[in-house]
Amino acid sequence: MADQKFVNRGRSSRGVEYPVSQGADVKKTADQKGMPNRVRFSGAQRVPVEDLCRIRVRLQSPDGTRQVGVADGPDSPDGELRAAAEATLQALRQAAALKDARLDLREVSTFDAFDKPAVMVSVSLDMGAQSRTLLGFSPLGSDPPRAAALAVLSATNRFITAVLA
Amino acid sequence: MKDWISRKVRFVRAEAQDTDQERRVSVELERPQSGKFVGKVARPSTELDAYRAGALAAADAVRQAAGIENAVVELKNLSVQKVFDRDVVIVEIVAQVRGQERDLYGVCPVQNNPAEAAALAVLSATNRMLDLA
Repeated sequence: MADQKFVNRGRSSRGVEYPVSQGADVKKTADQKGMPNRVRFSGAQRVPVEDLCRIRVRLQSPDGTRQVGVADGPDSPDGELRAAAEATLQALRQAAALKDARLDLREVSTFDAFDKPAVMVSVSLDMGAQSRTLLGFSPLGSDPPRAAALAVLSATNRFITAVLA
Repeated sequence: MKDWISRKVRFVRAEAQDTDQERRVSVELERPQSGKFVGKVARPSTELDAYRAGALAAADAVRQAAGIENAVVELKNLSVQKVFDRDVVIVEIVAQVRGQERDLYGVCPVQNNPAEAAALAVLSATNRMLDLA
C-alpha cells in the first residue's frame, strides 16, 4: 500500500509545486516480474527545513523492506537535486549492505536533452583496487527529486543487482 | 573474482564498415547458455551517422537477446552532449514488452568507437525492463 506521506505535494525550490513521488512501487509492471534482485523507487519527499533543502528518498528492497535516505543541500534547484541524489545513495547503501564496495556521488548536472530538461548524475564505485564511474540519466519532468533519484538508480542498477544476486 | 556488474547479456563488440555510399554496423551480444545475438543495420552513409547506426543495430540485438515474444525495441532519439567535461551519448528508446510501452533512457561516455558507445547506451536504457542485467 502506498504510504500517504509520499503522495502529497511539495514545492520545488524553483517555486513550482510538483507532485512528490508517483508511488512507483505499487504499480506492478512487466519489468518487475521475475526479477528478484531489483531495488525499487518508492518516493521522494521534500521535508520543510528553514534555509535548507532536505530530501527524503524511500526505496524498497526485493524482500519488501524499505530504506529511507535523508540528505540536506542548499536551498536551490541544484541543491535540491544533489540532496535527492545523495539521499538515494544513502538508501541504496542500506538496501545493498555494501561491504567491500563504496558508492559516492560525484556530480549532478542539468541540461536539455531531446528538447526537455534532464538530469545526469555521476557516481563513483570503488571496490578495493578497482574503481569505475557510473552515469545515470533521467528527464527532469515535474518532480526534480524523483528524477535525481531515478538517475542514481539508473546509474547503479547493474551493480546493485550483482550485489543482491 | 566477483563480478561487480550484473550482466545476464554481455556486450561483445560493435563493428562498423563504411564504404563510400553505405554504412554497415553490427552489434554482437551474448547471453551465456543461449548464444550470440547480432543486430545489423545497413543504410546510405548520408542517412545515418555512426552513433545512430550503432544504436539501431544494438536495438535489434537487444530485441533478439531479450527473447520476449513480440517485444519491440525502437530508437526514438539520440543525442551526443558534453556533460561532466566529456562527450556522452544519450538515447531514448521506446520498448513494448508484454503489453507495456515505456520510454527508456540510457547513457554512455564516448571513447574511441561511436557505434560502441551508442550500443552501450541502448543496453543501459533497456537492461532493466528487458532483464538483461
